[in-house]
Amino acid sequence: MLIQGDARVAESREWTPRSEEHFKLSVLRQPDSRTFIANPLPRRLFTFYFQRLTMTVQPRRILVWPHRRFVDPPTEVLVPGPPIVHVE
Amino acid sequence: MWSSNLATCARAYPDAVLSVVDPDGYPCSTRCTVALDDRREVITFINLPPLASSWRGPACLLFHRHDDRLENQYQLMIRGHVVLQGDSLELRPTHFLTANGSLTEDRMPHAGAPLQLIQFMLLGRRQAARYLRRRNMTWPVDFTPMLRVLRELRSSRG
Repeated sequence: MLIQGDARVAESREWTPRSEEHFKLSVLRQPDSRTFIANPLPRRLFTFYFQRLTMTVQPRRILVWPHRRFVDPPTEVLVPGPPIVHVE
Repeated sequence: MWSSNLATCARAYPDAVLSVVDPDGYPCSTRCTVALDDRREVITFINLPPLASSWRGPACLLFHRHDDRLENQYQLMIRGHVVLQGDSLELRPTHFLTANGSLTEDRMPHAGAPLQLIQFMLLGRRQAARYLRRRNMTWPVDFTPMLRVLRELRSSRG
């Protein structure tokens, strides 16, 4: 599936329920990162790693290749008033 | 400019994602298998879908892989131009880029390579400082909620 849309970017400076959800998911998926974050020295040296941007994409067009058959032309879905997709 | 070192790294990936800008101005991507030609310094495509047959112009090729714990990460991007050569498309690279800033290897920083980790730290700090300086801002990070989440996860495991 390919989603095309218009993006805007903002600094994620506030800790929100969404950022908590993303953080929890990230440490569950990458368990070794817990040791890194729990250690004050890496937190101090790698602060930049935790200064994240939120990219918000307003979908405009969705192309779908059923069953990953890329030799076939995609089904196109136009999105007039779509929900917003967040990528962090 | 061609990089033989990073071309060798690129051959270790099973596939890549080719992206171009479509006529409407939106990025358009497809997964593909590539062959890197050191002699001609171009990249050819093994199995581009019909969708890509009309693609020309500025493009990037992204390579990425990791293990099932999201460790042992490798990442490499090649930027260039897609052109028609004979009956086939090929990418003529202009830049080889790695997320770790290295010009010779594509492995992301990890604890097993402390020198590389330090280089990554210096690169990240320098770029973050530049970002903040341009915007005349500070960006303190409050780690309290992150540490709380780690404690909760630890206690929920018993």
